Amino acid sequence: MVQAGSKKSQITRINSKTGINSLIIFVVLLLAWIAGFSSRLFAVIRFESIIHEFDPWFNYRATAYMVKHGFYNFLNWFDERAWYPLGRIVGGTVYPGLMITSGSIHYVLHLLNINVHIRDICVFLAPIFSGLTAISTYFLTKELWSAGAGLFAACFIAIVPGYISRSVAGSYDNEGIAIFALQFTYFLWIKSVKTGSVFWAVAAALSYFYMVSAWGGYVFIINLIPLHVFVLLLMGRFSNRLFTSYTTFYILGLICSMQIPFVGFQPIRTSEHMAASGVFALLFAVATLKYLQSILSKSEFKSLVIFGGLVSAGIVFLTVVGLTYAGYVAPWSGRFYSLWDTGYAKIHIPIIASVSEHQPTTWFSFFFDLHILVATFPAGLWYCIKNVNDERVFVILYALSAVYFAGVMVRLMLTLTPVVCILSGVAFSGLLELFLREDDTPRNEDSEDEDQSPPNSRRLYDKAVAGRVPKMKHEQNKESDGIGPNIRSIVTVVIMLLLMLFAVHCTWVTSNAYSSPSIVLASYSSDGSRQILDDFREAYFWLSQNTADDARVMSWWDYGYQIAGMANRTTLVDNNTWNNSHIALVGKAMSSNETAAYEIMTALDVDYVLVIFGGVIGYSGDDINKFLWMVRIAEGEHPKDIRESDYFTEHGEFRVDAEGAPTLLNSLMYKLSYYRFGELKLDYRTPAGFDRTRNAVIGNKDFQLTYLEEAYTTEHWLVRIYRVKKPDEFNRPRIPVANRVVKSQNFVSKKSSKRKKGTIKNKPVIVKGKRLSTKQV
Amino acid sequence: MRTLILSLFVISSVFFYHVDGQARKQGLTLAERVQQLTDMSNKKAVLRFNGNKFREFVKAAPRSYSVIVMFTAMAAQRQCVVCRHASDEFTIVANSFRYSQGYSNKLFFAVVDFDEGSDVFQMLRINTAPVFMHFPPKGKPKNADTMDISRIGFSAEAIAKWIAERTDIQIRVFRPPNYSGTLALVVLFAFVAGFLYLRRNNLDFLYNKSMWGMGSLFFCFAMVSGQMWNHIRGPPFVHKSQSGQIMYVHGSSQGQFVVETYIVMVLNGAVVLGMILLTEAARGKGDPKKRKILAVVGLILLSVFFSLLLSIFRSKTQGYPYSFLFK
Amino acid sequence: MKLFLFLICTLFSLVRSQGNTLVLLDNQVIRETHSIFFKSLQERGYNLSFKIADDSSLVLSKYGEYLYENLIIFAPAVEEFGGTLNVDTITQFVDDGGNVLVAGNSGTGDVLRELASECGFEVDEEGAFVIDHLNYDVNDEGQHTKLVITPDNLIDAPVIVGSRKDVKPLLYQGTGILADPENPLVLPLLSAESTAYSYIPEQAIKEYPHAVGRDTVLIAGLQARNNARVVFSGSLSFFSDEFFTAPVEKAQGGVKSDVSGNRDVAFAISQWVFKEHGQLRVRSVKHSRVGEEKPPSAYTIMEDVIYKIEIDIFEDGEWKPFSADDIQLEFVRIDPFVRTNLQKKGKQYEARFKIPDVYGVYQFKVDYDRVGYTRIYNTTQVSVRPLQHTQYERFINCAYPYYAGAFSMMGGLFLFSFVFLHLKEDEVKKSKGD
Repeated sequence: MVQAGSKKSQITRINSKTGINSLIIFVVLLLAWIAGFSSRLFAVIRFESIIHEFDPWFNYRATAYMVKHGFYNFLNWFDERAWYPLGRIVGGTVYPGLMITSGSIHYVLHLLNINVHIRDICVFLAPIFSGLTAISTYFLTKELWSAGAGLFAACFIAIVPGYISRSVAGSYDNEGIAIFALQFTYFLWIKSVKTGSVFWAVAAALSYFYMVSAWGGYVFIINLIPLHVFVLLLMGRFSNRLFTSYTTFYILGLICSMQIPFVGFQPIRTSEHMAASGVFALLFAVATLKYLQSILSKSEFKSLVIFGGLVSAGIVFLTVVGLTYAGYVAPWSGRFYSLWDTGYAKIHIPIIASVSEHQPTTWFSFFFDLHILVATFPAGLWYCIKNVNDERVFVILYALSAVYFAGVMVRLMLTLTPVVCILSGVAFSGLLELFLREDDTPRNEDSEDEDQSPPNSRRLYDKAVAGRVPKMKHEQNKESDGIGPNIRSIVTVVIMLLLMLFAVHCTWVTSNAYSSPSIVLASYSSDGSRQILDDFREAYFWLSQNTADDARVMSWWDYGYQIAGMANRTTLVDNNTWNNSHIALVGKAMSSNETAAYEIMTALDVDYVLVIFGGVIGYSGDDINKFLWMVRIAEGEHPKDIRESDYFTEHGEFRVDAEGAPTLLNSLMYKLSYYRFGELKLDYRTPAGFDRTRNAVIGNKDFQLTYLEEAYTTEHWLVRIYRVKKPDEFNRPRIPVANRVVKSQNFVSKKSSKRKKGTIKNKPVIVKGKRLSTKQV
Repeated sequence: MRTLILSLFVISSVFFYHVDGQARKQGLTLAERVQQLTDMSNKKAVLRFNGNKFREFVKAAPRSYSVIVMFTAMAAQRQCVVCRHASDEFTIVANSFRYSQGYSNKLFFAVVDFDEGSDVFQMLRINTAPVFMHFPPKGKPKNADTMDISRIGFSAEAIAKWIAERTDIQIRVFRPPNYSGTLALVVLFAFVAGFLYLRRNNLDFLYNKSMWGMGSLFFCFAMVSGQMWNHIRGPPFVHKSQSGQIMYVHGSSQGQFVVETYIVMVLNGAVVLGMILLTEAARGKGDPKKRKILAVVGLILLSVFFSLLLSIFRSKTQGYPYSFLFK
Repeated sequence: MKLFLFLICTLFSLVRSQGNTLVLLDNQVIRETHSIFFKSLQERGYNLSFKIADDSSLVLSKYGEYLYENLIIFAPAVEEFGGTLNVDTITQFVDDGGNVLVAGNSGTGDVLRELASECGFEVDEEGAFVIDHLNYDVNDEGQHTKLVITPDNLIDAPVIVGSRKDVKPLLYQGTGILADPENPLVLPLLSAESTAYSYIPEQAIKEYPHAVGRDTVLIAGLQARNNARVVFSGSLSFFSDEFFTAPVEKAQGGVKSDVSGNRDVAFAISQWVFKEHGQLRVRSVKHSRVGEEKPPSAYTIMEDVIYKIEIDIFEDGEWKPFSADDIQLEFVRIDPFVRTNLQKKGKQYEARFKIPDVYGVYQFKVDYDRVGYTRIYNTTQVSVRPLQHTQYERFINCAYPYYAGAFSMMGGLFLFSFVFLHLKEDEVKKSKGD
């Protein structure tokens, strides 16, 4: 408990006023923590304490493995149950920070003889870290602006949906802890820029190391901080503090980040990281310039610095480009490249474009995730720009870059949310501390140097109540009743109303949008009663109980992690989509007809095929709706065999009913989804075989499966599992009656229940004393 | 571009007259036709056909080659903007086939303009332009031999892909590199640099915070109001329903119209303005009266426009319970 | 693997019912006319139980246990079996590993036709004979249906029919069989001469015969994927004492022999169909790193691995090590990465190779499929893992400059700190400067 310790020390040290003050801060932060924690528990309360949708299942599995086998075995873990038959080196392809965090918590708790199952730790990790995020946001904002703004920001980020969406209880994913690491790194960075002490820079580097180990989004930090430095240089704000902090941070951060196996040599090989080293070199160039300036005349000081900086930046840029062409530096990776050339993924990388969270963001989802903050944070930005200083340059850049990225990709809303909270906190606190001014007593401390003031809490009170800029205060004392009390109170009330609206909005969004563990579905019937559809776990449990331990299950990659995590069976493809061609192979199997698919499946030793089918309950996220992506991905690798245009009608529409394209109606995915669905009559209003998701009667109704047989179908038909027949089940290929050369007249049986005797043509009649009368041929 | 097309037109018209001349003399044999086509396409990748030449080269019975024909209306008075883009892309494909290794006399590109071959349009019952059709060596063009522009568009890559589907000839589209963007960038940089150099003595204008503030605020508004989504998805400006009334706001939460985003941008801006006005008013410069007015205006801006925003949001969400001031 | 288990259980069943064989006849006469054949079987230890095909008490299995190992149907004229026997039970019997020997003739009944086409070949229509106007026996009734078949028309598989060289010419009289060309499992054990065709002798030829020339199969065999064996002969008399003992002389002269080869071929075929010949099994599979005994939990890339397999063949009543030089081992991950020949070392075959530098889940795969032998298909799945973090080499030569740089840096820092600490006032000024 950070603030607990600080609180006690303060009370002992200094006067009670500051003590009360820090008590307030402590209470507010604590409340923020509690509120944030409890508002993330909807899923647990409604359903149960389970891991949520897809990736968390892998993280949970990996964590359980690490807890069971120890860290080094986890590091060397070669998972032969994933990506059959390629296998996956888990230790080298995962960001271990999450597992290590929860693993160490588990370890500590068990040292204290508190027996908590690792699953519960995984479930509640993200909510707990949301509290830490709030605290680090408070510190960051306090460094940037004032403690009051910090408290606002902390409260905002505790409940804002944009962050809750990734950190509800049970969504055990990297982002949950990464945002904390992000904010804390920024706080330490700001601190080190302010103080210029090596200590804070080292702390920032270590926190950056944690971030690297936790999330791929560390690239954002390692580009934003150099950008900050660069802009400061352009603004001629070079200082030895900046020099010390950045050089320390960069070198240490670089060396640390290369210790993560998954990152490896990327920091010196890929373009994403080149900006940092370029700025590193540039910083030295500027420092030398400075030194020369101090020796030489003072003329043209600033401009020379600027132009020198520009020139050296250009040189560095050119060298990077040259190295890239020479091949020493890998060009932008696809996901990253799609951030700049916004149409890139759509054309070139269907596997990226197919993921819904890689889509661009509508204003709706901005407002949905941030509500009033989205409309107020520009005000905070405005004031940051108006009275700018070193660290506010940072938050400005942070805001601008983050808002751009959030516009390009929905999932990067996550990086935007903290800065939005900070800036709105600035805006609201700036507003309120002016409008709640009546009851303030004239104060005597001066806060001239608050920008450089160390973060000990002696000044907290002044900053919390007094504004940002010293000159304001005198005017307030002079004409504090300038506007008049009633307008003040009206404004205050309106602001309070808006904030209340924000709070209820956050709660509503959290409970309605972000609290369903997508493993268990809930459907509300007409009388409002809630019924649970537990088909996924039903199917996975069936797999784990009724199939051989080394059975290989083929499904679309979305369900790979769940099958591995819950059914503990071998999967062909899963959610870390590292091998596009393997996925394309599965896509080809799904989208070609049964015979062609059987060849692929036997080549891959598939035992079972699992498809998700929502046609019975109207579940829209099923495989038929994802089918076009399978086709596209397959077409990318096998353009000769699979053509997307074959799956559309000539009017260019994708439909499953009788007008649908024949290729679609005969594809494996279609058959597996709709097998025996033609007989099913859902209710008396609709005809048999009516698909509730597509709202159509299916086109290909009564067909038989040759190479597969239905193994299991869950209660609501949501998950259907098929067994792939083995070759020796086609024991002796019979000649079907149709293509027999010799047509034989069909024989009518004379047998009956009592007369069991068969018949033989020209049965010999045995007459006494004579030889047999049938001649043997 | 236009001049180019004009000149091409002149050239091609010149020599299709004399081709026409011999075409009229007698029906040509296959070899001759292939020969002529090859000569023509050597001169120019996209052949320009009128009615007779169309019948001569495309309709004539024995063909060893398949022809990709673009039916278009390039004449100025037709005002077909799409046709111009389409023909550019088409020319790109044709050229990249013409200068590729796989260049053979199995595939030819031709264009029929409505004003020259309207009879062809009637013959094929085409009443829209542009239309891309593939005439296979044998048999009549089937349904799939007409490219579905509405679905796959008519970008050069799409055309090449479609050709590869119809005739198994793979064409690597080679776009003549487009330097305009880089050129503009270079010019911009040069301008800025020169400007800085001229104003090197007093660079204070760079420190004008309001300017920077305005710029970054505008950027924020643009992003937050989903302009990037518009840029990538290219939604319609407004939506006209069948009954004729105009929808400004997209019904579902998945989509948005351009004008809608503008509205949202304005609303956001107004709210922010309100916040700033309030703060400035309370910070206190000038006489109290003005500040009172400022405060009231700011308050109204803030509350009213935010509740407008909220109601738009509400109209797009199913079952969203909350609203402020108005529904 | 599965198949291995299957062989085991067939072995057990062998032990359980030692060669119980059900023989279905049209009438008791056949028992006399084919006594040599049956006697030879009995001498080889089969206990035959003869039944008339329409006997109403016919059962193949009781309480899910098969009473018989093999089934002989020498009842061409049967239209319908008695008791619980019918085509489905017989095919089920085959699918469960039972062996069937069927002999028909020109008057083959429908039930046998059904059975035949269930196994992938067809019997020519009723009344049809295989006719050859060039190669018929001297004492033929004049319809040229009693054919003399030279041994080169036998399938080239000593396991099934014995060596073709020392087989005397064969006598054949009966209908023709059409083999399904798509079916890879059907073996034409004996096919007619190129001048033969199959038609009804009495009728004038109106439409094209169903089977002409070498396509006319006389005796067809099938080894199902579960290694159950079915032999369908178009001629019952091929197995008869009369043909066993009759002299052979081709009417056109040439081939001549005082006794036919039917006896040897019939015995060989019966031995094959009842799995006395050409039955293989995998006794054991061992694989390990070179120099180790136990298989490791997972191999590492670039390791030397040794693979041993013991293959047995069933010969006169016991399993003996099988010797061949064409057995191959594949190391497969989707595609075979290694394909090598297994050397015979003593009783077992073994191969050594280096695991490729590609990690993944591999399979040792032995797929031995030869005509007449049971198919050996044995896969063992192993996972090949990449190097562990401790298995890389520690000190790389090309890294020495970096080591040097690091240590010199440390030393430099050490010295610098001394200098720094002894220039105190400089340091003060410096700090003020910041």
